[in-house]
Amino acid sequence: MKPIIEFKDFSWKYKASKDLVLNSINLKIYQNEFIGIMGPTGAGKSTLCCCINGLIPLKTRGWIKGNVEVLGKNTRTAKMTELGQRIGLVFQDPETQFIMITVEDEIALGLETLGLDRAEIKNRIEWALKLVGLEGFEQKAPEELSGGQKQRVAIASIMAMRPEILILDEPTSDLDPIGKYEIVEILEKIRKEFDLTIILVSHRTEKIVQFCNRVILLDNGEIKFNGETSEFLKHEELLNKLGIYIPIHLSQNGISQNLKFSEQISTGKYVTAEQDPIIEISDLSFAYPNNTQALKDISLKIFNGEFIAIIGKNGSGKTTLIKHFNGLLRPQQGEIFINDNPVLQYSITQMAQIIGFCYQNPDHQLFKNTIREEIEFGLKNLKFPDDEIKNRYNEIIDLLDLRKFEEIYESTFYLSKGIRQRLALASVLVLKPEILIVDEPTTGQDYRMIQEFMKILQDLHEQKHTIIIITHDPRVIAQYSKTVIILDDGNLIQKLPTSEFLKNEELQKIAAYTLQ
Amino acid sequence: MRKLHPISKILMVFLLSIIALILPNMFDLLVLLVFDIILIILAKIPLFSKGFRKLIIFFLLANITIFISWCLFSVEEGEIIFFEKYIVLAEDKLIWHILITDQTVFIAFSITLRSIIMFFLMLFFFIGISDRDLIHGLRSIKIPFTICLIVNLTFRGLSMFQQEYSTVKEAMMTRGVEFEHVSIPQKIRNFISIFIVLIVLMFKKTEDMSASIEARGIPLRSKNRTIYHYFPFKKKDYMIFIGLFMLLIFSIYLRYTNGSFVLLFLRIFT
Repeated sequence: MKPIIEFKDFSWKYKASKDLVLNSINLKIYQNEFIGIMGPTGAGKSTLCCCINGLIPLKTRGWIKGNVEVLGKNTRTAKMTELGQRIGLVFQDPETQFIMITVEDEIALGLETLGLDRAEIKNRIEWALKLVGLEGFEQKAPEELSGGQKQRVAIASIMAMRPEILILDEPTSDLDPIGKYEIVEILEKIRKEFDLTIILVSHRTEKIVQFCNRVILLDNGEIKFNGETSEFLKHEELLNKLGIYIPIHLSQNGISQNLKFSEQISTGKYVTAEQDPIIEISDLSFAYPNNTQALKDISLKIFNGEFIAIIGKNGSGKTTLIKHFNGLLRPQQGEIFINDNPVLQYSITQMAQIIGFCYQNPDHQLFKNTIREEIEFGLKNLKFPDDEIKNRYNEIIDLLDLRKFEEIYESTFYLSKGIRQRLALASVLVLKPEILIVDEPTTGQDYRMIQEFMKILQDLHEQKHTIIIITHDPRVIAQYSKTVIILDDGNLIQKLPTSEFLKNEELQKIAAYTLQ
Repeated sequence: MRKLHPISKILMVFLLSIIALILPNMFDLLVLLVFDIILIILAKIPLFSKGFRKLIIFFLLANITIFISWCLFSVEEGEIIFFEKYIVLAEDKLIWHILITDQTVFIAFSITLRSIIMFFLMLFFFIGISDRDLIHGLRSIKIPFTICLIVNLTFRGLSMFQQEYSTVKEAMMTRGVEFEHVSIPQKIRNFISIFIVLIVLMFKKTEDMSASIEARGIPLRSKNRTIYHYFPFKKKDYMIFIGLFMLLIFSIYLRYTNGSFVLLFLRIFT
């Protein structure tokens, strides 16, 4: 059987990079395979995808050796237009893949390029939207969609073009667990129906193991493993070395369809209502200007020293709720008290010292050129004396192990995403807030980076900080949080200890936590 | 109004703006204003809604200021209708001469009317014509795809910029940056900080979007490309074109003859 993708001793280095990003790759992929690509951040996974699609070398400058042949064409000499139309590539960030201003136009854009008539375009738009579960979303603008919905649109717009090969580079990072599962299930269905070859890049071992029939493991631009999925998990030593997560139930019992995380219940204590709440919310309701009712009559108490995971499906109101904690959103109905005082009584500067807020994308939160300037930014805004600024800076840079990066990198711009996230955390923590809120700390990060970041949060929690995270990651919920708050369609379902939540299948379904 | 071709709507705004600048007579401008208001009503623009209240008040105040300023600071020949006064602020030194004639008031009123007409036309342009209408309209009249894509990406970029702006501003506020109760220089410094972050973010996003377009095999030039949303010009669009061009030519004639359509109309029918 002839491979449809073949790398022949292929090496690649970007113009600006010092080292080879892909080194002597020899790889054959056959029609109708479902390939999983794994590896730590910076291993070369995305670069490999761009080489298959032709973006490398056709549209990217760099040094090249060897050849890649895809669908019988050498990517050095093929036309980008042809490769792009036959090989669909879905990127990680759905925001930047949304080119047009409505969902319908977005899907139609590629179909118009194929020269299809209006009736066929209409049929394919309907088909693609049904495929990803977004029927009726034709006229929606990107700003009206959640991250997960945008990711579905990105997949729909590629699928509508009916590519022969579909490459997905972390396509479900913004989705809740059920959303992730649904997308991969859809991919499996269309692979069979359309005889499609699918290449899926993911950090999630469970998903790769469950759906892919072959796994390619990359590290430092080299293939470290290329074989059957059933063989993959037998290389525990290699996987541990590369920081690839091996779910306990998979490593012990082989491939399982039932993905549960109850075996990893965190051992911390659940804070009970014996003390005064640090945050108290009563009858909070909030609707956005487009009349979306984001929160409905929420009453809730959060106590000092809790480690809370706020969970729920995409669009359940999690981010809207936490933005009320520090006054970024004003309640339209109901009240919020921080340390027994109404939240709106606090000034911006006072609030910054009570509640620290870490955004999902550190790029939104880094304003200065150097690590020192960034960490000192908040302290200077709050007019701390110079001695105090110096002391706090030294304290936080050592706590988060950032000093070595300050010596290496002149500008924060050159830091990797993981380090930028750590710097964003440092710049918030330096203000010594009583409560730390972190929005989606694990999105798009590999297992090792997640572990490193969560370890920092765990240490802070042990130092009596109140930690609130929003996450879709079942591992993080089970391993680190002590309490969960479940939201569904703007309603507070329950606040309960994580250990109890992990035993309650009904609540897990509501929170889009389990697959059953 | 919604069934009109988007290009007809754009042309209407463009030509009516030119006509408003050309027409010399106040009464003609008043008729144009009435036509403008009909446009606003037909386009169902909620002029008196809460969202527009601040804008309308600001606009009215600005126009009153323009009217008064013109009356106080300009000197036009004509019959003195209000008063003439010399204000001496320093000894034997004339500082200010207020002279309000009938021509001063007519000109001030014409300027105000033009300003109101332009304001309504701008409202009609920004609210009555959606970004989507504009792009579909441009593509339907076979404007090159590259230009349509640039216009589309501009709208898309604006909406992304708006979202990123509010996120970055919020992120700064969580780090103790005040935007309200600070001095103007500090406020400017804070906004500069936001814009530096935004520029970096927008560069990254532009790069990613361009990779996304390339990756989907969307060429800028293609003979095979079809148009999904095709809006052909209809009879009423052609009628609007013809009507507006005739009006434009007639306005140019009135300008050079210093005539008035209303007065001409009254003379014929009375």
